[in-house]
Amino acid sequence: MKIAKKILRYIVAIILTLLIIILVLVSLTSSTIANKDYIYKKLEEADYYTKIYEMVKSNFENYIYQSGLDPTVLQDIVSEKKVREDTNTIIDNIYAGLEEKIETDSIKDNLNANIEKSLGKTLNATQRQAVDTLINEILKEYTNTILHFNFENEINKVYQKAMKYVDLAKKVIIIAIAVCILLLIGITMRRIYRIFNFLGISCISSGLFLVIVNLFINQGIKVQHITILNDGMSIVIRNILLEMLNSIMLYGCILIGIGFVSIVGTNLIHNIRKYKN
Amino acid sequence: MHNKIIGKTIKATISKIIVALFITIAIVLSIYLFLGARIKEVMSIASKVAIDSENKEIEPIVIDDNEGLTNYPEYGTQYATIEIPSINVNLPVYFGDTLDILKKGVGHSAGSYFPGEGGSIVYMGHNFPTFFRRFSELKKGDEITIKATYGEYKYKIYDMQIIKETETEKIPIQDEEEILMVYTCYPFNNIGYATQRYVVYAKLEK
Repeated sequence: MKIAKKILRYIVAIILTLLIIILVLVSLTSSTIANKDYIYKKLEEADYYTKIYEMVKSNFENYIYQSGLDPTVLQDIVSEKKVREDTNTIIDNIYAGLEEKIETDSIKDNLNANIEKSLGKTLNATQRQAVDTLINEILKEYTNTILHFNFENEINKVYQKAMKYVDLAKKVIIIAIAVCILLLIGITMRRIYRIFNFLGISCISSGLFLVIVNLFINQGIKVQHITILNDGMSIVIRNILLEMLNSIMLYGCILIGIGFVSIVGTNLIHNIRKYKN
Repeated sequence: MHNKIIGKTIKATISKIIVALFITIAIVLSIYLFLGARIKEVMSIASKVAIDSENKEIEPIVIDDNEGLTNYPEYGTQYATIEIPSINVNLPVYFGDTLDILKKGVGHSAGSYFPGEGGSIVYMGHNFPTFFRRFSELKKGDEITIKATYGEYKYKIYDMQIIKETETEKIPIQDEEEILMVYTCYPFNNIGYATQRYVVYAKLEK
């Protein structure tokens, strides 16, 4: 019976360790990449909107170089404010499940007006067609630069599904942790120092695991050098990953600390009481 | 008594930490056993997008008669210059054909061969005045020189064609003969979007 209880205590400690690890990772995910406001904050920090605005202008220039038109026709056709609004529209589409399209009519009107002013003459039908095609290509380029990919609604479906599970998982984990603690109380015959010893073991194990995860990822991937799509996007992704890795390390160290204090403290109190008696 | 209490506490703490270590190792091993291959795959993909290009040693490009080109240039880097004396063109050639590259110089289509490899080489560039605006002045027999970091190659123009942007079959990729194909947007004084391309075909001389 005693051996069975001992084995059961260790099994509960292992389960508790796994639950703590999952809880930390789920909480970290829901407070970072799954959080729309966090993403907005990171975009702002990385100066993302300005970088994309500069990229939009640079990409427009490439079309003008081959068009025979004066580069001044690109002046003021799009503003940084519009780039910001459109980028936020895409983020809203992903996180809130909206299906708003990027508005390009204002760019089209500005560009048309600038071209007409620059040429100072009425275009013949062939020229009009060529200019219209060019404008459409520029508008397509703008949408592609803002969007990066055309499957934000698909991401949203996955996100909505994942969020349902994340919320449910958090509740289930918290209940499971409570059940484990109750089980420990039952198995240890309410000996508080033993309960804290096993809680301490679980905290240290989960903390060590998180530290190992951090070291493993840092060793395997040079996060500071991640390059995806463009400069702006790369900086945002790098910052988010680095912050998540730092949080994993921090939670790991905190858990090790809590576990250590819990084991040392309760054993010290237990031994003092034992010798006093 | 104090020493005994401290000694017992240390002993108990160490034993609990050892247990915690065992649990951690067991979890790490279990994850490695069940998800090891998947983790390796994800790490390999992630490390591909995290290249420290600043500290990376760039190995020189070498061409060998039997093995062909070794150490291909990195995408987006300049590896050659193109000289067309008859129209006063001397431009840098970059590996790749992104909009950014075409702003800086001539782009090398990533799917085509490199000079010296014995196949189709496809270059492209804008038609603004300092680039390929004077392509219409080129004649059969005019020379194009590619000065790559690994060697110099001279080509003689044997044909010029105006094609639609969709006629990719007129810029075929083959590996039987070294042919340089350089194209730019046409008409040269176009207004608006150019839907045609002016292609210059040249054969390797030496």
